[in-house]
This record gives sequence, C-alpha cells and structure tokens, in this order.
Amino acid sequence: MDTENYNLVDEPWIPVLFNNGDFKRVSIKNALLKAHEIRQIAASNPMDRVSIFRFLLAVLYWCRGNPEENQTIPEKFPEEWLAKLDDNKDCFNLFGEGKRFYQDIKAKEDKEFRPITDLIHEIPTETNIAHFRHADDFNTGLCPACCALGLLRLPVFTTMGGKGKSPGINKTPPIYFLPNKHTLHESLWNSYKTCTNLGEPTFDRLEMKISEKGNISLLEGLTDLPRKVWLKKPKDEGSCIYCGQKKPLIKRCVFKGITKLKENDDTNWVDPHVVKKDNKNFNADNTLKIWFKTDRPWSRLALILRDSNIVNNKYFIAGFATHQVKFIDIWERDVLLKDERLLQGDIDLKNYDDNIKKLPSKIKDFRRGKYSVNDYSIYKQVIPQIENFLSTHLSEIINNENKISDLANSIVAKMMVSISESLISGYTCSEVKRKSDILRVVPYEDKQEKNTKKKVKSKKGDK
Amino acid sequence: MENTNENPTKRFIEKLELMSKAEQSILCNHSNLPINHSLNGFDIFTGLWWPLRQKYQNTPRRDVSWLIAKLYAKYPIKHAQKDFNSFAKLLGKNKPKENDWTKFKNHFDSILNSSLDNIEYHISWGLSILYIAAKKNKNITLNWVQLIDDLSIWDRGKEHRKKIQIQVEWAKQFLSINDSKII
Repeated sequence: MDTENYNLVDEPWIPVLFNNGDFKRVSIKNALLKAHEIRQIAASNPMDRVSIFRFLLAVLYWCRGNPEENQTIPEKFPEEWLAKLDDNKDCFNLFGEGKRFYQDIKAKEDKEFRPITDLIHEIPTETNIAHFRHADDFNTGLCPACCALGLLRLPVFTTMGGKGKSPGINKTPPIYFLPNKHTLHESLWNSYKTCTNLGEPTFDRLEMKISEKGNISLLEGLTDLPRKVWLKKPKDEGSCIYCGQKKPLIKRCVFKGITKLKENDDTNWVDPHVVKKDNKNFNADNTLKIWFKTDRPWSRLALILRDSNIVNNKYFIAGFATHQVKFIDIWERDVLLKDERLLQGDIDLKNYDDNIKKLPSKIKDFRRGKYSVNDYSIYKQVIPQIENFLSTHLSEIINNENKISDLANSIVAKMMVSISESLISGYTCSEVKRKSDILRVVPYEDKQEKNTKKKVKSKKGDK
Repeated sequence: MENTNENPTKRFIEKLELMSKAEQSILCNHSNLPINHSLNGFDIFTGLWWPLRQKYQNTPRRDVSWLIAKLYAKYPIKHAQKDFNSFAKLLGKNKPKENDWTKFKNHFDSILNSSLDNIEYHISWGLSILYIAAKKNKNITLNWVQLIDDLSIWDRGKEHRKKIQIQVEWAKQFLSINDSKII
C-alpha cells in the first residue's frame, strides 16, 4: 500500500453493506456513485454510521450545491455531479506534506504527540481502567482507513476535553436522527434539502479557522473540527486495533484542542439531524447517574419522539451518553414513525419510569419483615430484560399499535415468576400465598382492581 | 395378562372398600406402626396389595399403600374420583371459623413439611376433620386414588404431571389459588 499517496476519494475505506449482502470497503466516490446499490453504512459502532453519513451528505452538497427546485430523486447519483471530487483530490489526502484531510497544517511541526487511539472513543488510553479492549499507548496502531473513520467522528462526537479542549459544534453530543431508507441513496436524498446558507466545508481549507460569531453555514457545521490533528506517517505493518486488518499502522498523532471564545458559542447553527425542544438539544441519558438500568434506554426517547414534529419516516437514531469527559455508552435504534402517534396526553408513557421504580416496594409488601437488599438486587437483574423487551417494541408504542401498559404488564408478569421463586423458596401455605401475590404485581394496575385491593382487609394470621 | 385399561390404584381402593370390620379394626391398631409390626397386619395387607402387584407393574408403592390402608381403616370416607374432592381441596373447604384459622393453616403446613416417613400423624389429623364432615353431610366424598398418587410422589420433587412439587400443588388447592405460574 502506498501510504504516502493515500487518497480518500479513491482508496476503499468506508465500510458498506450492499443490497446483495456483500460487505466491502469503498472510496468516497464509489460510496456516492453506488449509493443506490448500498443498503447502508456497515460500521459496528453507530458513531461511525452517523459520522460517515453526515460526511457523505456534506460531500454531496459541496459537489452539487443545493438541489434544484422540485427535483425528483434520480435513479442514482450521476457521475458528473461528483466532478468536483476529482478536481479537488488534494483535499482528501490522508498523508503527505501539503494539505491533508481534516488535519491542521499548523500542527505539523508540533512535537507533543498523543496515541493514535485518541481518535477512537472505545479504545482506552492512558489510565482508563474500565474497558474490555486492551491497548498499549504508542505501540498499538490504526490503519489508514480506521484513522479516516476516527477523523470523521471529530465534528460529530467530540466532547469537552478539559481546559483548552472545546467540544464539537453541538457541544454535548446530542441524539442524532438520520433517515433510514432502503438504500444509502434514498437516505442521503431524504436529507438533501435546499439550504439558504450552504457555505464551504472545512476539508476545503489548509488550516483550521474558528467560525465567526453567529454565522455557521451548513457545510461548516457538518464538518466543524474541534481538534487540531496531524497524523504521523505509518511505519511498520501490523494488525489494526480497530478493524484487525494487517496494514501499515499509524501509532501517534498531534491531537490538540481549540479554545473557542465564549462569544463564538452564540451561533445560528441548526443541525439538520438533531431534535430540539425549547431551543435545547435532546442528549442521551447518563445511564450511570442513578444506576445502570440498561444499554437501551427507551422511555425518554419515546417521549421525545412522541412530542417531536419529525415526519412520517423510518429513522436510524444514535445516542452517545457522556458525563463531562467520560464516555458512558453509545446506543442505536431503528424506529419507524407514523403520522398518527401517541396522543400528547398519554399518561401511561409519562408514568412508566415511576411505575417501574415502584415495583420493588410492591413486592416488599408481600414479604415478611423489612425490605432487604436482596429483594432489590433480584429486581435489578430482571430490569434489563423488561427494558429490552419494551425497547424492541418502541415503534409499536409510539405509533399507538400496542399499549405500553399491556406490553409492560405482560413482560413483568413473566419476570415475576422468576422473582417469586427467587425470593420465596418454601411451600407452606403462607409462602405459596405470597408467591401468588407477587405474581400479581404489575406496573400498571387496573383502576378497579386497585380500588378493590384497598377495600379488602387482610385476614388475621395471613402474614 | 395385564389389562392396561385398569387402574391398579383404583382397584386397590375398591379392595379397601370391601374390607370386613375385623380387618379394619386390626389395621386401625397399627397406626404409626410399620408393616412388620404384627403377623395379622402383615397378612391383611399382603392379601390386599400383593395380588395387584403380581398383576400390574404400576401398582402403588408398598409403603404408600400400607399407609393408606391404615388410614382408610380408621377413616373410611366414601371414595369418589372427582376433580373437586382431593384431600387438600376438601380440607380447604372445611376450614374452621376465622379465630382458629392460623392453627388450622399451621397444622396443614405440618403435612406439607413432613417427609413420607412421618406424615401419617398429620394426614390422620386432616382425615379426622373430613370424616366428621362426611358424617354430617353424606355428599362429601374423598378422592382416595388421587391421595395415593400424590403421596407416591411426595418425596420425588417435581415429578408431578404439572412439573411442580406436589406440596406446592396441595398448598394451592388448600388455599384455592388457581395460579398456574406458581412452580
């Protein structure tokens, strides 16, 4: 591989899944020319799916400009639309002495290096101890293709990095909503709308420039770089820690922050893939805040979708949960939204979190004596199953095809069988009665039943 | 030749029903005693059980049959094979007034907590209640066949057809709980 002339327009680096089931890496040019044959971007990390999609959209806008008025979707992107790519290949060199893709030439002479794995969030560096993948700073490396993927994440998923390291243009990475049609071509076209302030992307520049106050164009926003990067040239060949392929590896880079002035925070930037409410972006929950419930938080997302004005469409949704400089979680969803959604006054969805939290105390009512830590820990073990079940029915709940109370009650009822067996092991009358009572615990009680329970007094000797 | 349509447990109960008063009296005197306690008891039981054992492979266990023979001799409640008159269900239906409920329930729990070796005393207590009730109401019958079948798997965990412990099934019947999810 000739790394000196590694150019992203021609080199295959974007992982895609074709409609015929083939998985391949393709170049920028082929990703757009064959977008009608590509089912989707095939990255295992949803961050890469979002980053690559937004980058390809930016390239489409940059090459073609705004779509023509009332233009219908072409069968495929014509080659002549992408002529600008061939004319400006130097913008997409990953290495070399001149202009480099998403890198700042001012950082070229910098001697302060960071491990290359800083580009990939899920690979630990320095003193991070909570991880499943082990890396050795400056010894493990990334192949050129994976470096490009890491660079693409910068505009989309960069968080606050301490003093002098500002976050990306959306500050705390919000939840991203991307159209998810049958092909990449249709998905890109769905996002390709007329924009009054198109501007120029940052990959067209030799060096980085902080946007002027209040004036962020679409292309600038999609490709905004919150870090100054300069990749050191690859030397030895080895296994890339991200994709595993044997390629020349890049092991270090310059990776510095950019201090943005506070006044530059006041911008007119409106992200096309973010949902806002009261002028604030929706961010992913910090699932470690109270206790780690699940890796698929869904109830708040359901509320967002219910209350949003997102149109009738199928969406790929990705949420990156962070807490200050810590990366907590990344999750993804495929959701189909119909026009007729849950009514805004739906109380069941709003009360879901409270109802689920009350389950341990309901179970406790049927236990002799004090509430024990054991009860809560057993309950916590089944919560991921309950959350996962409801999460997989997210579309049905939002589109009012299935009542959340029915779904929640059905899955909790199944879990209560295990819980009752774990908590009560004997078979005397009292224990069998308590098991039977625990089996009847559900998050959404029938109102009539609830009133009946209040009226019935407990018999003497029942406890 | 073994007739596979015949239920040997049912045949055993029918034989118990045909016992003479003298035979019943002898077996009554063997409460809480083993089968080899006396020759008389042994002879009577052998006459009841052994011919069935020779004919049917799935004759009830000897220890359970001996237990039931003694209990039937003491409390000869009329037999009828119905769904609603199993031992636990009947006992649950004949519970006392509320003041005595705890004692009654605890006594029933003693049955559930007993092993097969020392269950006779506690089952005897339950049968005494049902016997008195049956004397007052001639419509009360007991499913002795079900009782033998249940006791036959008393110490065998979840061999019940519903894959549950028989003690749990008895507790549910006693409390009239229909929940199929309790295992």
